Amino acid sequence: MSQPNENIPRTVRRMASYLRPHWKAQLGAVVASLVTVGAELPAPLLLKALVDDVAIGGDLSLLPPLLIAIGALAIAGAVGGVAANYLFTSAGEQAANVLRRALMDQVLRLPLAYFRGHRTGDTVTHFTADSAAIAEAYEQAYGNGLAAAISVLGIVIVVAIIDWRFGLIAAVLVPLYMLLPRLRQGHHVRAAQSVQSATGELGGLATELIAGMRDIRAFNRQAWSLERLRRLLLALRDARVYQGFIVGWTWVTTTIFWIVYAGIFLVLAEPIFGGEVTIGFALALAGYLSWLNREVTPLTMAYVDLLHAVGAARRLFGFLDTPAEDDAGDGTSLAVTRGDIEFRGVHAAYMANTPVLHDVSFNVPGGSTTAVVGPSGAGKSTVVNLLLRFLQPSAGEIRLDGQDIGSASATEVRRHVGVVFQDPVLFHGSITDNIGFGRDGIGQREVAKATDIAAATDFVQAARDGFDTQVGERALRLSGGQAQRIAIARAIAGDPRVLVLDEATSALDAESEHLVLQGLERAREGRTTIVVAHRLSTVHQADQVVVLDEGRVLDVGRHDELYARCNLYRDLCDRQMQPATESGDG
Amino acid sequence: MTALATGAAAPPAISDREIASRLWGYLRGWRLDYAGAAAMTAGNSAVLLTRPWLLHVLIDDVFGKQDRGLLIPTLLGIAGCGVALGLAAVFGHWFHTRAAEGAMSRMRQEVLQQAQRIPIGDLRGRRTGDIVSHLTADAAVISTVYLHAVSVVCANALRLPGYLVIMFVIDWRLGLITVATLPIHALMATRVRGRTQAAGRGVQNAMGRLSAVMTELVGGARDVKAFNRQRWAGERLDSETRTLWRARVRVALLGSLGRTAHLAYWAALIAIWAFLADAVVAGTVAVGFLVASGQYLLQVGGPVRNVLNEFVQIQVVLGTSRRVFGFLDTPREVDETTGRSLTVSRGELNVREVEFSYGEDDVLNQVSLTASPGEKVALVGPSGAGKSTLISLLLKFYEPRTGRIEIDGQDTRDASAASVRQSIGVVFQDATLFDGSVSENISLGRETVTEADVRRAAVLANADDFITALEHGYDTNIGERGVRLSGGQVQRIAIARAIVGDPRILVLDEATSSLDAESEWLVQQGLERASAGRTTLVIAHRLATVRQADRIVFLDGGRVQDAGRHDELYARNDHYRRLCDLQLLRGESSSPA
Repeated sequence: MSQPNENIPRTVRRMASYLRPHWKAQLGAVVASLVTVGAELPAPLLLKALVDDVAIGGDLSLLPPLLIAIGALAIAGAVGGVAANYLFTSAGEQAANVLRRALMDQVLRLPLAYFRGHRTGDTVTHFTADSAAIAEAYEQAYGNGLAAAISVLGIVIVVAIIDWRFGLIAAVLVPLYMLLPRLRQGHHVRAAQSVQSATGELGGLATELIAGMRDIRAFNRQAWSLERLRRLLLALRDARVYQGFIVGWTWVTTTIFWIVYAGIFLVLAEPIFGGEVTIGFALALAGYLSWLNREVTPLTMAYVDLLHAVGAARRLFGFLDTPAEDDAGDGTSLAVTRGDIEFRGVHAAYMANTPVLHDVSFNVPGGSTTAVVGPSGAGKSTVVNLLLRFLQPSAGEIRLDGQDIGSASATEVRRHVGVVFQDPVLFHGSITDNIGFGRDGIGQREVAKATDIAAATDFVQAARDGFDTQVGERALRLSGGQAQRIAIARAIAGDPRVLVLDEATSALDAESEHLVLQGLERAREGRTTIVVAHRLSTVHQADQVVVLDEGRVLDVGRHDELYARCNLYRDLCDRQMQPATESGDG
Repeated sequence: MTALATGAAAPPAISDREIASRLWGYLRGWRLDYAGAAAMTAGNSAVLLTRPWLLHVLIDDVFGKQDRGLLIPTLLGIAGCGVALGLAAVFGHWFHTRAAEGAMSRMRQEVLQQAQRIPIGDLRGRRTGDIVSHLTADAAVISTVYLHAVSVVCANALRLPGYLVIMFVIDWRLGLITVATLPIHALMATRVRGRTQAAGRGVQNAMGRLSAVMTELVGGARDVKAFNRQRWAGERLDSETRTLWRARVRVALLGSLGRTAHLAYWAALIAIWAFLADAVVAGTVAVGFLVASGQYLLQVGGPVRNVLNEFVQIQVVLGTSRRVFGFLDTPREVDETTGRSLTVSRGELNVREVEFSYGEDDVLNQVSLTASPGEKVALVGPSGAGKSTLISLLLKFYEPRTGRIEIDGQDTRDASAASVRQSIGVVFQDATLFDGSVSENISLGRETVTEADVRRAAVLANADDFITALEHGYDTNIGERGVRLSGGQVQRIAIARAIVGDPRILVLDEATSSLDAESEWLVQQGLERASAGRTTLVIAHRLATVRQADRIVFLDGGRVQDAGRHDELYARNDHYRRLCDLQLLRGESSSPA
């Protein structure tokens, strides 16, 4: 986790930069820590006075002031501790939140091409695990670590003032206490890693075996799956037992401490017998050293947490520094009335040197419907991405009512283009929220109208709370066909001139497809529509069909023309209408 | 399939006593380790009770009475206490972990075995998640009872009276002051801890919501951008992180309030000196006792807190165990191990007047069909017609309510599920790939299947080409953490898996429904070859894929409406024709619309 890297200081500085806006809270926290340490530091000395002067010296008049001082300092220390903890946590968590927001903004600025290469899971991990590790560092490494460092420094100074030789011993003990557990740190990390990986594997295997139970039972593989679990459990047990053993060794600091404790009395025995040093003095010294032992652990932990966080931060900052989508344009606003679309010699590539589209040109007159078809990898989805300006052409231009969309901002382009994806994401919220999602200030009337056009009114009204029914991740599950009709309503709610249907019905069964197609038919009215589909049943009604193959336009025409003259198109059609065998059936 | 099988009624509640005895039962084989753990815990307590006493000896006897001979033994005692504590900790951890992991390994295996025996309908949706958590999170919670809960309670329950006795022996006032601190510690441990836990749950909830919102927004980044909702997304995130911040700060505040329990120690220390300073000066109580009692006081809060904490933990364990045992005690409706073995050579299939219902709703009504050896029969019909249910009955995942299913003339009702399934290869719509190599995914660990068999099955399934093109061929890792395969590739592996044991009957349950046209084409080629010479039962909602089956059985509303060849049905059955027309399929030939 902590490979030596010259950039650790730089990463830590960048992490700290998120704390800077909350400097007042941190200043307060440092002051509170100083108060706490200041209040706690005299305690062993006060005990010494109790033992030497009151108990042995017999001076009872000193008793009340000493006891009052002990009580007052204990209270001051406790109050300071609470305040410091509160302020450190608050500032640390706020800094982590600012970081999370920066990450979200980055996700939304990244080019879509980024997500082609990265799984959504990885990106979510950036947020949850990595930002949690950093929040932890803000609290632990920074808050607790700083407080512990202040205590350690205070103790060493006080001991040195009492007796410089013991001050020297204390100063030597600090690194000793810190280093001893670290000698075994390699074991700790290895033990934790093997336990973690075995635990992770157990979770994966459990999910796999339970979710795959139908298959396991259908194939009579119960014994086999039990054996897999048993083998993993053995590994888990070994890892856990080893870790238990290693963790036990952290007690070695306690052992050392008690040996040092005995050592102090051994060294001081003669002076005590000789009366040069009091028992109370020896007790106070021992008290300071035991305190030192307690404070060093959080200091060590803070260091480990910091290293953890540096790893997480490095990944996270790397993500933040990924070049964002270029979506500014030069601020031109588009005037769109007819909705004519023209692709003019468009070339496109997600990564340099691997072009996806070559010299693609076609015209879509305003209000008409064009289907884009072709085998997988032909570049159909790229056409959609270009229209939504998720991607900029590397050459050529795309015109909307004669205006190059490349000069307008992405926001402006998307105002005029409504889109229905194959797998629309509905967000947690009401149906109204989801349909009004696309545009600011969409009223209930427009939502109702769009719903109507999308042939969704019936089932929306049948839902328990009608338009207020909650949908999305944690609420009502809509069927594929219903979700798709909500997505159609969402796409046309702002009345865009252009409608893009990206495999909008591919994932549906025949009956749902039929319902959705009805909705689409009405949604298309009066709009320029571009349909991307591999199931050709959806493209029959198109005014024209563009056949793409390997990024080039192979042919453009009506369905029957193409079926007659274009081999690829005829193959595509035929394959879908008949099963794999050559047997032409009867 | 629509309706869910509801499973049996909840088993009767299990008493705490029974849970405890069952938990003890899981230690079988690990009791020596547990005894070792108990011994280490006892040793640890003994040392903690002895050490402050040594301090008293040091101050009063060695230095007070100037007994030089005692110095070295006393100091060795103190250092020895440190060594003993260290050793007890190391070996205590070791023994505890061995016992706990051994016991939990047994429980986890039982959970999986149970999951393999309960009715398959109970393994859907939420229930799947529950069982996974029985195997993972629940087991981790229960293991704490072996790891520390019980031993900590026992050790501390012994140690606390020990402290009190020592304090009273030194001086009755010391004893009383110590007793007076106990309620404060108890109060802190219960009240503040209760609130801290509630606040901790608040943090967990906030984290959960934050993570859900992030998953949604990251997963939906494309939609957010396409509809220009970036600002809205940012605000959603901010509102969740603000909630998280509030919850975190609350936990921090309560956490540090909990630590102020330490003030009870200082208060008691002040009281001891205030009450006993006179006695010390008068010489009736030794200084060393006063110092030692300070150490005892410091330790006395521990047992109170620990015992209370562990009591809470034990309650949690009892609750969790009750859930897991409840699952383990679910009646096993299907006994899959016993029953007659079938001998299947031809693969003739007869479904005779089968009726079936999930709960109240009839799903299948008087369904009969026949498939002669080598014949290809298609089951078609709208969603909810009962197609998948019939397959479940065929695989003996359920038993028909009335009627029977025969394979090669043998009644499957009293045959073992294993032997029925051995004669049937099945390809589901969404085949599960297991973590492992391609080869393992095809053979699924069947001992009788050789590498050559795997290869032959893959060739038949039209999968050999893409498998050999993978980096490690048949040894390539697939599944969750391996190479990602396309839907069509997964299905072809599923076909190879279904035929590798050379079953006489092949069942295809929507095997190509979720594929695009090209993948479907490749998979269909595989299916065509795989089904040659086998009795094949196909379910599909895309009619194009089943059109030239030898026979099409049209199911609707749980009844067989009609059966015959495609063109016959198209000509005479209106419902069937409507279903075809929806899919742009004509009756006469295979030319496109």
